Amino acid sequence: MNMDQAIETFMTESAELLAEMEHALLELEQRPDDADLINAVFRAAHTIKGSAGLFGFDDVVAFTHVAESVLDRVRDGEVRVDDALIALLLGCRDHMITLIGRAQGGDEDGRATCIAAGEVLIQRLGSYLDGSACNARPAAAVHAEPAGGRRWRVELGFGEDMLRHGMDPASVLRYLAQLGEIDAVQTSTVRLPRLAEMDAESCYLDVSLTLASDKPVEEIEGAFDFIREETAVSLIPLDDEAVGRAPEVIEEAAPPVDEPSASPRVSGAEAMDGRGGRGQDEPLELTAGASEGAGKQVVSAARSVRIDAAKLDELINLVGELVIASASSHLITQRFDDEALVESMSVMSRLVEEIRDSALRLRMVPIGETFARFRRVVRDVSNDLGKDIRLEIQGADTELDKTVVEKIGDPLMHLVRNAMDHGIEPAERRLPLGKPAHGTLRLNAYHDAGSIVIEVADDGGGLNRDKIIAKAIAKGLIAPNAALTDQEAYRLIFEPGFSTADQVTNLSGRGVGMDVVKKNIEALRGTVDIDSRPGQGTTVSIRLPLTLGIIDGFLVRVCDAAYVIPLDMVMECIELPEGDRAQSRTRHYLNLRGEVLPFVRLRELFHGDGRPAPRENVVVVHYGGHKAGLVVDELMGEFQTVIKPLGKIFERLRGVSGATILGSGEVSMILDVPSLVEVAAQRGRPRAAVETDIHRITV
Amino acid sequence: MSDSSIRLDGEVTIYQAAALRECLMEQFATLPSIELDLSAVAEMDTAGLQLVLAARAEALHASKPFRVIAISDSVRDLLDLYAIPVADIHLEHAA
Repeated sequence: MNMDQAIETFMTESAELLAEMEHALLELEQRPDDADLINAVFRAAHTIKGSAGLFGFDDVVAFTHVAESVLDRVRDGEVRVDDALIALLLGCRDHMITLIGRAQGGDEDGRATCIAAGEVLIQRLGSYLDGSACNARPAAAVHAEPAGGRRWRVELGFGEDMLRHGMDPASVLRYLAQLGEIDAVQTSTVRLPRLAEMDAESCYLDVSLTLASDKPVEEIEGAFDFIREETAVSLIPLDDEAVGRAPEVIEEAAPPVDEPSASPRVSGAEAMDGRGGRGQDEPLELTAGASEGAGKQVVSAARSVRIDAAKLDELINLVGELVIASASSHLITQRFDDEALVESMSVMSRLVEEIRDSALRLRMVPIGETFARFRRVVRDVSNDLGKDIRLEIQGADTELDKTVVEKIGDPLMHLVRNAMDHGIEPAERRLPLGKPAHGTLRLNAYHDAGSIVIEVADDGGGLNRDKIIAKAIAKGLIAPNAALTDQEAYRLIFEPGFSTADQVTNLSGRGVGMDVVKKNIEALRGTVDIDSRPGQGTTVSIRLPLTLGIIDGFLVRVCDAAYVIPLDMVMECIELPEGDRAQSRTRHYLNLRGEVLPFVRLRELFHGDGRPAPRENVVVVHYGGHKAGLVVDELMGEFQTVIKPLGKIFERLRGVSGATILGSGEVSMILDVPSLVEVAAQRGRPRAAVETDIHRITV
Repeated sequence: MSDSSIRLDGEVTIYQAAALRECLMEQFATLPSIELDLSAVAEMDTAGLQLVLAARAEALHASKPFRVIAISDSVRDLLDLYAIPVADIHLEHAA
């Protein structure tokens, strides 16, 4: 028995449905007459009610039923969608989250408060119903659905594990009975083994029936949402639409079979197998042709599979080990001068690489879902603030690692709130500036050099450089005479305890936050940058690595240690010219085709060894619009790198972001390019020249 | 009610199914005919129903008379749902 698993599925699916519902409600604000949106909202509520019913979550069912009744009237055009209704339905949606969260049990006191909160909503919903309906309990809906509409042939081959997962086929049948009128039920026991061989907890039954219902097909399909994974479901329409395709189905169904069970075991099973639903007199005449004809209408099984995240992590860990093992084999291969072995090893390496990429892709999810959550935030916050703010979303398809997505929500939330609160001015200040009265908040995402860049941009007043500097001096963060570039000045707002807001609002401006945002993002090996134009707005860019697990690396040697540079950040490699070598004792930049390139000597940085190697190479890396050179002794080529996190002791180590294991078993450090680029920039002034655009050169 | 009748009461659900199957197996081994009394069943689910159906099939195989002598309302509800007629269950089978 695994009831927990079924409940967990219910929880996840409900969360998804509620997210869809919220999304549709917010869209409805713009297009109140869109029937598809209204249907989407209705369907979400309806499905949740049905599924909650299967689990016996009565509080959820009772509340959702009332909301559903109102939605039903909206669907029928009896109630018009307006802002008040949307606000109320959003409130209901939030309450449903609470109810579902509580459904698994909890303290009775909390339940009372929760029900009381629900009653308030129910009363408000009641004003959209004809008075009496709001008191109707779901039981009222159970019976007395007028038969009519379309007729369906429903065939269910229940999966063996169904009972064990806490799902009783009987619940499904009872639920179908709520959707319409059930007729010609046939239960087949052909799969039932002998008593001695049967597992009493397995399900061996198949059921076929006809259903007359005026509900749309999505709703009927919804009844099978929770069993579809293990159950063979076929839903075949029996009305005129189907005539051309599956005539035998029609002729069979016309007079409902009224003595269905003289031998129920035979025909039901045949119907199951052939999906055609022939009469019991001629069960064996079902042909492949018949099932093909009807097959088109068979509801297709779900196209995606849910996988436990832990299993996925395990797979990715194993792939990581595989990558290391393959690197080791590769190394050993090189010792033998065997062409065939090298050849076969290189095929193997390529496959391992492909497996690695596919495995990592499994964990990639589009960021759109995260962005979409902010529609509601923007709506609510702009209402609270009395500002008219619109949200624009770009690059919703951009994918990134699920583990990153999960952790980016909070920092984004902070940035969004901050932009709305401090960034965007009230309408009365915008209009004299010639700006539109409504503010715009833009969320954007795109890929760049093995990272994903997420931008939160507003068209508000921009940051006030003088105010920031004055505040930083007052706080003792910078010296009074410090000369800062605009960028450096703006970055001060990420310092702990920094807030320039004159007025503290309840949303942000308490001086906590921006530094936390920065810390959270750095914990993901990312960086934050900020750009602002007075009067035109502010853009905060978050740059994050695409994955947290495995990267393509570039292996270099300094002294006798090997280091890995993430390959995505490598632009080119050059030999350090003699002239520059001579001067590099005093100077920390070189001339790269007429461009100033600051560099750092890793030998100096990591080994404290001032003596240069006989020959030196420069690896040109770029990050976040900046370029720098890393001077190394030897270039060793590409290397698939499995990132192993460093222990707590190394947390404060600068210039290193992780470790990896080489094929030889040796441990190698992964260089933290962002911080090295920064170090180089500091040493290799003049700064202005560093901040030139990147000319992309591939290695 | 004869001595050989098997009386099930309370819940006949997946929670009891495994134990009930064992019990039915024993009865089949010892009794010359099987009579089920389901009049005191408070709750029956699909797992319970399957056992009754399996018992009936077993009787057919073993050529033993099989009879359900009484059913409770909740059993009747379940049989109705699956459209299994009471008469079918009752099926008095003579060898």
